Amino acid sequence: MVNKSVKRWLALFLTFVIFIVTGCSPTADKRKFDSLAIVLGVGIDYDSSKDNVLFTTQIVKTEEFEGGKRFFNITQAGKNMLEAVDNADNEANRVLYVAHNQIVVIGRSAAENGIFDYMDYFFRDDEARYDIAMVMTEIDAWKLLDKATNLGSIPSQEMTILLENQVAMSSCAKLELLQFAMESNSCFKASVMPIIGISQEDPETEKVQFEVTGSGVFSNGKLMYVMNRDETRGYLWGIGKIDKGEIMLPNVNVDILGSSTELKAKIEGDKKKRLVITFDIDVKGNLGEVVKPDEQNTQELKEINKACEDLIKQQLSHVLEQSFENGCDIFGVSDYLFRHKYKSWELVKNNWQDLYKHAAFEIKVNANIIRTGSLIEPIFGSEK
Amino acid sequence: MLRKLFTKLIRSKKINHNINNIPQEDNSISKDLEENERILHEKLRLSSDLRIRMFLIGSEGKAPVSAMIAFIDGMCSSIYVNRDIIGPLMHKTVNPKGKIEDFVKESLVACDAQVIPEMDKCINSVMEGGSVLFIDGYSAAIVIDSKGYPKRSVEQPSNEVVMRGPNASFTEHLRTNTALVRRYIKDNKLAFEKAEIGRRTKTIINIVYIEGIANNKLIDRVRKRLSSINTDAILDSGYIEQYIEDRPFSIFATLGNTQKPDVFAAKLLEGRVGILVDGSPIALTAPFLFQESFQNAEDYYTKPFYATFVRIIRYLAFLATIITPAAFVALTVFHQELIPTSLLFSMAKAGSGVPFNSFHETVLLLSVFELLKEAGIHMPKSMGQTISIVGALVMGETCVSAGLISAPIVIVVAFTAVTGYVVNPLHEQGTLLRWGLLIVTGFMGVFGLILGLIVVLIHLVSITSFGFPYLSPYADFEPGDIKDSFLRMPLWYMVRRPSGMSDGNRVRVDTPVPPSEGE
Repeated sequence: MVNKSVKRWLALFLTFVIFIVTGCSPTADKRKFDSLAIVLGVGIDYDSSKDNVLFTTQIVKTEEFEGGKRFFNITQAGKNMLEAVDNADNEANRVLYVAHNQIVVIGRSAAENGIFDYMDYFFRDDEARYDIAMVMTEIDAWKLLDKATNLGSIPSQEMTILLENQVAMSSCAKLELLQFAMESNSCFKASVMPIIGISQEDPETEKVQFEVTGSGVFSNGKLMYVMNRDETRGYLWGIGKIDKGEIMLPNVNVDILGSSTELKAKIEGDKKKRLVITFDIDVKGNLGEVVKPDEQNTQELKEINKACEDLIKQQLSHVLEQSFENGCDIFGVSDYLFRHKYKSWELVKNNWQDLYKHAAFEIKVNANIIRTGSLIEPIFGSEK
Repeated sequence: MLRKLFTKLIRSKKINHNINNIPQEDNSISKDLEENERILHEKLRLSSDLRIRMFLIGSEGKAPVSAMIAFIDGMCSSIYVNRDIIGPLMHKTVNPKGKIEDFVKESLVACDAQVIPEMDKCINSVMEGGSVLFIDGYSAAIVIDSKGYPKRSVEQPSNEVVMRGPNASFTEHLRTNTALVRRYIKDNKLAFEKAEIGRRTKTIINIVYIEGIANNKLIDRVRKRLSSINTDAILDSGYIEQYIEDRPFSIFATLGNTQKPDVFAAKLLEGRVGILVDGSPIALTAPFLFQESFQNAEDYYTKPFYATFVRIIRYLAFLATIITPAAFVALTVFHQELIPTSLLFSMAKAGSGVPFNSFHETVLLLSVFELLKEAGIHMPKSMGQTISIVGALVMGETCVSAGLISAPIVIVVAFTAVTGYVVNPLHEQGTLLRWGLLIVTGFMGVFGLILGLIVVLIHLVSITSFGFPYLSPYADFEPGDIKDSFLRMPLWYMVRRPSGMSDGNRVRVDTPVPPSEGE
């Protein structure tokens, strides 16, 4: 018969032992800083000759070093993602620490082949983050990740910063990992991924500058078509992500202060259903610059507003028509119908592709130059 | 919880409290002077500093009477005894006759003289420093207060120095302390209740309160707890504190202490009860709330804006000092994904080649800091420089460059150390909490840290100090009391005393808002 007080001490002791045994203790040296391989960027390519996926990781060198690259890349092939990652772990000699991964680069080859099979890995790992950016390249991902940059920073970081800047200037839209997953699981939405390319390369030092050249449209995990920068702009008008930037008209540049877009869609018709999409765009701007002062430039604000509206309509129409042609619902019309007009959605969802290809649209833009305190007359060159 | 564990794990034996079973002797004073002298010599045979002076009262008169004065050398002011007692009595011409009380009224030059018929009381007063006058033929003795033991003068406080405001400090002498308190509160309702605690030390303590302001229940509680102390020695107010506090097993103090009479007076005026202990320069106040640790006397002597700012900083500093090492360990050992990426690079670079885990480093460096602290308190003044040099250069600089510890951990420990001294009353508690949270975090990461903090919070909420919730006004929310918690509202705004403490007498000021310009 064990004494009551002895039982209590025993209980305390056992709790302590459990802590240590389960590894829930500070002596369990899970991760010391120099046993980590900090992964900053990841690339995916597809090797069609061997039906392999090529997985590239960009690991930063944290030790002191003399010149050279501050990073090194590991590229491994495998039948599927997990195998490739395993091989990469082996080559790295250290545990790959992906919690600080910032970017996922998808090479053209993988984009055309379909990336659904590879993306699953990113969501099963318990340390991966879901708010990292996904980008595409026209060349191979491993080639892009191998280029040192002029500013000396690591390519993944450079690309992330570039992307942030471009989003801030409303030149492209960021696609996050989780966003991609959610869009792929929605009705028929196509994801739009920015494309990063190389703008200049110094032939001697092989240092590069990155740039965003446009966006790629992904439907069902496969790349359907590519939009250039102007078309990406049109796409941004459609989703209402233009907060800054310029509208360049022949005589003036309008500085955009803010905009909002409202998307509406409805199904019309009885027997032959027709999809009608409406865009309601509200833009506020400021006169940024007056160009070509010699020519006729005493335009009224009304005319400038009208010119803006026309330009926006034109850009957006072009993008819409392009998406109709390719059958990619980049604006999420199907999602809108699913959420707001479920009954009609149920009737047409089996016939979506056909319906979308022959959809009609209406764009209403309301451009407003506010802050009329800015001079209409240019400082230089106007007729006195 | 700890109390239950403690008392059950360690079987306490019943202590025999019957020390006072001294057989009753004859306690009376004999009329025969020589008999009294013999008794004194017998009872105080161990005291080699006992002095007995036999003299004649009225030696210049017709019928002088023998008398004897007994005192302890060093405790008694011999100048006073010579000049005011022996001298005048010796030179008197009138002899003592009739009642001894009349003699005292007519002839004795002493501002504090009492007639005591019991021998043990006389001996007690001799032990306290008084002198006892025995007159031949009388069966009572006169006890005269002639204390003259060495005592410290009123100096600056060692711990609670302020830049603006009075800088007096209590001393070890009870009478000086009571005088210092009376200098601030010249009210006849200021009560000093006397009690004697400690069988061997016979320490006199005073329960101080202002009648009409202090809650009667509170005063009763304090009295009751003090009367239940049954011990040999009271050497310092700390002993009293440990005997009467609410939660002996908690690390948080439920009795306040202060070295400054103005702080003491302020607390009395709010309705608290104070305890002055003879032999201790630290006065106790009951009840003691958590927020009082963050209040400083200086806050009240300066304008409210800076005082509020500093109060808030104190709260943040306390949080910083207990959480910083644990948070650092949590981030670097368990949750590296929370560290910003560029910081991760520099930490990886700084930590490369270091043999220890982050947790071990923190424990090591915190232990070194505690050792340095302890050494700094106890070392002789002449070696002060050495320790600071050893501490800074050797421990900090050299260890980092030798690769024993990494640089970020030195920053963390230094920051912890500095913020630990911001809230001085909570210094010990801060240290213990810091270590506790560190250990728990070392096992369970951020989860452990939050768990530890919740446990501390629950504990704080459950403590009461003499019937008042420890975390009032935060927990026992009384909106009016916020004006002196983490804020310090202007003085003319703090119209009422803290709730609960005062017994209905809540309004203390009636000046309206100070006059604006021009008036």
